[in-house]
Amino acid sequence: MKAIEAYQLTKSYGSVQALKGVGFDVDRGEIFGLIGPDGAGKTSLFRILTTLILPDGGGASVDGLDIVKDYRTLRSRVGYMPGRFSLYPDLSVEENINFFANLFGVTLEENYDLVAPIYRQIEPFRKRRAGKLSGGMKQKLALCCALIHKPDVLFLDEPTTGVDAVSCVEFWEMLARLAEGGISMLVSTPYMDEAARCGRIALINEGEILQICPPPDHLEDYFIDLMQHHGQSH
Amino acid sequence: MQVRLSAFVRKEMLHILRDPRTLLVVLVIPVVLILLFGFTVSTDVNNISVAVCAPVRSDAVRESVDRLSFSPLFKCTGYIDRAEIDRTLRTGKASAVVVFDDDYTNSGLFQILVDGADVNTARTAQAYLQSVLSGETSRQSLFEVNQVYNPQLRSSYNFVPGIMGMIFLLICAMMTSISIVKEKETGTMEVLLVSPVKPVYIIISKMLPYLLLSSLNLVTILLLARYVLDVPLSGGVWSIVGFSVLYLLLALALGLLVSNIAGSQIVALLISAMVMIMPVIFFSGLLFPTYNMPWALRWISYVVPARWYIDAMRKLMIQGVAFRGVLLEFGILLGETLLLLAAATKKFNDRLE
Repeated sequence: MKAIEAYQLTKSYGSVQALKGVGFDVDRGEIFGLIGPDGAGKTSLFRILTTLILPDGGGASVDGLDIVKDYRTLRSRVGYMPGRFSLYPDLSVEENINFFANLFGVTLEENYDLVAPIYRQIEPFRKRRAGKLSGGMKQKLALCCALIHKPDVLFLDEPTTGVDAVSCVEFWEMLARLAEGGISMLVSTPYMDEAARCGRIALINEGEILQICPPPDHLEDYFIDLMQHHGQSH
Repeated sequence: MQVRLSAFVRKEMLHILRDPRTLLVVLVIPVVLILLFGFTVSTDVNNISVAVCAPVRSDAVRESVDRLSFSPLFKCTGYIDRAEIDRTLRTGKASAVVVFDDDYTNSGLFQILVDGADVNTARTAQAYLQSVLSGETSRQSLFEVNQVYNPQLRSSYNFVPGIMGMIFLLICAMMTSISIVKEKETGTMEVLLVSPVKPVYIIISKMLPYLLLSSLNLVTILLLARYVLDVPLSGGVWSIVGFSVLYLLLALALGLLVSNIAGSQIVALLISAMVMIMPVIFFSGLLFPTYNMPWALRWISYVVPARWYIDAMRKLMIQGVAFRGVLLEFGILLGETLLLLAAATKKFNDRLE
């Protein structure tokens, strides 16, 4: 059973077609990168796979569960970190983590081992309000909160946007460790250099997947070539 | 599931406590409003300046004028000639003139001229003058007017139920809707939805803290009303509290409905102001009696919950009727609450669209 299987997903907002038949699959324990510019349809895809919005056509299953029929069960099995900081800025680090743990009926102590590598870095600031953390710290906290219930599949929508270079490297190292532990991941990013850290990547532009492949060298040139080529063929 | 709900409620309480300015406003505004309306803003009229025109100053006339000047309601500005009446009123030297008949001793006839430019004062002055002047010569008075329930006609009696009707809507409906919409706006709703938590828990956890906060307000308002403004609360405190709690639930349901419609905090605020505050002011009978309205507006007023609440509160607090006297109002509010709750929970989306 694959971690994620998606086929022919379409989604439109009014006259704008955000997704034009997207299909791919993600293996267990794989970090699958979704690389594409702003407005490529990455966030729509994330929202469909995390059951937040319904696709117009096509279908998908995550962790073997249908994203439309089994959405209730599915919601307790996935971890989701939205594109923008979506924690409570007026609650402290600790309060945020405990709240999200409670949401899934678990405690921080229970799953401490899983989040420990990340949590230990923000633990010194556990009494600090989340809104007062630096960008990198915020992302680590958000990852902690998304992981606290031991999800099988993790969805990370642009987790490193607006984070300094050093924190980015650290962040990707953490993701690699989590993947080794068996967690499957779908990660989107607009940064080409981060793609090298994924097992496989899908290049997405204007609601279409152009290519799925292992991260090639000189991805940037490759992607631009691909986009131009694709533009000519239309 | 018990754990999850309590975690949710604790989180909401933290949100409220971490925003002390809003908390202060929520707790202090009702007190300020009650005191403001109770003491300073009143439609009661005192010290009406009255001029007297009496060509024949008989003993009976003198006696009546004495009566007027001793009353705290009036301030006699002195005797004037018939020719001066118009000028006195026009220049505002007096807002009312009493003209005594030449044969006042026997006929008891007098005429009252009031400055109608200020309708409120004019009407009150006329009523007061009539009662003071004819009250003393009881042999000529054909009927006696008795204000039951509120013998001093104090306007604070009237405002307390009105303020309650407005405050609870404001706090419960506006604050809940804003707090739900805020989660949508900041994106935390996305994370909440991708969890096994049932939407109904999100709803309940948003309602409980504000229910608690407004119950606190209810207590302060009732204490102020009873001990500072001397509102009798003669219908029984428990009836008042019970009825108010129903109204609080209704306000919460309304807030929930607004939060489903509104996409941003500003919109939630505007809808609350337009849909809640305006109707309370115009259609609840707080300022304008509803039975005087054209039928279309009167029908609107039948739907405004605050109208039924304020009506019932007047009966319970001032007239002192027992709870069974407000069963109709209670029934209507209960129906509206259930309707709103059903609509709000049905519309509550457990997806983003």
